Amino acid sequence: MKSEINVVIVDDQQLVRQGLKRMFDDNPHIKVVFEANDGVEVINWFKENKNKVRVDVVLMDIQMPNMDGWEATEILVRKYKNIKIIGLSSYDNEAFIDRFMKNGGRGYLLKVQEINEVVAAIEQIVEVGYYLSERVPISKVKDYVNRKVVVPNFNTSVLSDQEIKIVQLICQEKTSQEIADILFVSKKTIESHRDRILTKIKARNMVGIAMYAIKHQLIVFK
Amino acid sequence: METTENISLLGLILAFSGFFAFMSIAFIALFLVFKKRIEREQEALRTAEINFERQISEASMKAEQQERVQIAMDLHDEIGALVTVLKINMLNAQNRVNQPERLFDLLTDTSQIIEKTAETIRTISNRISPPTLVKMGIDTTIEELVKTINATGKMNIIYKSNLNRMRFNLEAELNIYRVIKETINNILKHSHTKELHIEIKNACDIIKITFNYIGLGLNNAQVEHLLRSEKGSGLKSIQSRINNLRATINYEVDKKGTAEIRIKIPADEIRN
Repeated sequence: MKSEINVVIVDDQQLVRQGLKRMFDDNPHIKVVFEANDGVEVINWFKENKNKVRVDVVLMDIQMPNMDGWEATEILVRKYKNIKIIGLSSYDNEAFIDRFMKNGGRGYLLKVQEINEVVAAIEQIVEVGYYLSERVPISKVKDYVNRKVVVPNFNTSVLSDQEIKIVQLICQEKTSQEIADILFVSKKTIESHRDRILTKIKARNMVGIAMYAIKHQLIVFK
Repeated sequence: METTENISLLGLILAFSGFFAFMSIAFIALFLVFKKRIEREQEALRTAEINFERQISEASMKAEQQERVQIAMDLHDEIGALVTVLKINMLNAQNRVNQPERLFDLLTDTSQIIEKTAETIRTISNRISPPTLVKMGIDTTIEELVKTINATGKMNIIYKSNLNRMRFNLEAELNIYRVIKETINNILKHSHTKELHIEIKNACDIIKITFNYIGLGLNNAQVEHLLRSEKGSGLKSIQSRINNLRATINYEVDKKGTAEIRIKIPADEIRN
């Protein structure tokens, strides 16, 4: 039984909100506690309800009338330091994503291409504080972690030497097959190692593993 | 005696010649000064005219730029949202293969969203360049536009034309269409009229377009004033298209409150 996660959805398109809620039907541990049309609405709601309702994650659209997702995120993060906000937008411009993360966002997903990662992102953000999709290159992850734009809070369980080796190879963007060839084991073994690493550090994807490796200095960049 | 007379005559002649010389020089100087001033005034007028034309074309470019920004936003927001929902529905459908009833509802919903997406694409594409205009010309496009406006019930437009589906070059057709559309918009917004007559006539190689209604309108002087002010971006865009067509436009209101806008386009300039 997964522990319950309370979510707020901020999007000016009612259809999108409805679709997201329908998506959570299959994940009953995710509960939508409030839906807002824009930044102003969500800020007002927080003023009234922050002490009454626990909010774990906010899903935030970027382009909205009245107040956009950047500004709303900046204001909410300034006021409620530990609030975890994921950007959910159809803009894939790097500058847009950078601005959102610098304003205190904890992750950013593309509406169409990465909507299927929403549940994983919510879960990882609750566990380690941040989520980035596999579209984000490792160099960018490193930049975020080093400049403390991303400050993940991993479970400090120790990885075995073999697991660390695999983590290092993952960070070199090697495929499971390539890693298997290098370590003289089967691809299947690598995949089960990888799943065990994910469970240990409570990450949901390879970028989560990279975040862990960068934070714990398991890899050296030239 | 004689000598003294001679001397005084000479003096008189000299004095007169001196006076004439002085007058001629003064006259020439004055003439030059005036000429310069007139030239300067003419130059100022020319500069003002050039500035005015530049202002009109700048305003029209700005309006076009704004429209482009709006279209990009609409594409992004509206189509973006619809496609997002389609994707979510597909994911949900994948998870519901074993629940036929819920799957059926989802698919019905999805099919409606696809229809809405198609409709939105049509609307946005129409705003960029009406496909009817490209394929079928002015007459049919205006008929379509009139039908849409009449269906809203805001105003009744009676459209008459003897163009007989005549075609012109596409740039001219687009300009004519935009002038008509913008003029109708202005009338819809400001005139308080319920009925508008539009007539297009092709006579002696001049295309005449007339808008006629009873209600609030503008005369030439008022339009000119608006064109020279910060306001009237719609009028500026019309004027700029009229200039492109080498056409003329006339605004009139009579004492009984009948307003008329007359456009004359030389057909030679816009033939296909």
